[in-house]
Amino acid sequence: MTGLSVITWIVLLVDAILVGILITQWRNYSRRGRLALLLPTMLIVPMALSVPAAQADFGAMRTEAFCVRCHEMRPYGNSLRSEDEESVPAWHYQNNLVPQRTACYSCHTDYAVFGGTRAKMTGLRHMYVHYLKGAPAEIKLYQPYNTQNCLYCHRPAKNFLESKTHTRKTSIEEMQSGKKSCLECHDVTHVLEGRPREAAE
Amino acid sequence: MKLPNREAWAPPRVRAFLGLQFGGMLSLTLSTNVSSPLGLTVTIVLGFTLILAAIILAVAYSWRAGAEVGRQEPPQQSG
Repeated sequence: MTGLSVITWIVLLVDAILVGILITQWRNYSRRGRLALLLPTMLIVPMALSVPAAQADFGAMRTEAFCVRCHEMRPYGNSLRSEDEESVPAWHYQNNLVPQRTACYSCHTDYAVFGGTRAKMTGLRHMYVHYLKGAPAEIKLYQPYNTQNCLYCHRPAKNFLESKTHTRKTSIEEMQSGKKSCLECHDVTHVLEGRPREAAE
Repeated sequence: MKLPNREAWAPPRVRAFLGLQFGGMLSLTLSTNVSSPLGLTVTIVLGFTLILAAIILAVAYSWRAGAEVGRQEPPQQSG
């Protein structure tokens, strides 16, 4: 049991005591007394529990360990340790260019205002497919990979700006607008064990 | 062991929203102890739904209680 779960169990115990007092002694208290007990029970205690619990849970959902709990994702998790030097995900992971603990989330979540929310909705879709429809034999992204996710880190980087291929004005504009994908040139993505290396679409 | 006096217990609607609130809290507490994707999703969604339902019910209850007090006739003055 983690430190956080010990705290949440303690907060739950406090809540149980408050709820017990309110239920069994409701008519023994004046209106003011009821409000004084209801305020912590309905607002303060739920806030004290839900905020850290949600933070911990949403944090746990970002980890690679969480993603690979579904068997169909394990080859993709393993591909991050691939020896293939051309593999973009393996290169990023092994050189710590993305946080290794949250590698899947870092590259597959949009860096926009609602990027995290969209990722949660996509996660619910994954759950639906995994538990109700069954994973397809060949796993594909729901939509083409968002180039902005690459540019978020690479666009201000010195080695990106100094590269002649990247600094041609048309090329940058095309990348920014999404007309040109980074994966058109850097086309080796997840190298799956036992499967032929495929170029990114 | 002395049992609490049932006369002092809260009315059913108050018990309902307190029950929902406690259910939500229990679900969120359990969410910090599970690691499976399904368990985590279900406990979080259930927890927040129950807490939200409890708050809505509590507000509706206090609104209705306030309206009932407002409808009561003022006490008759004697003399």
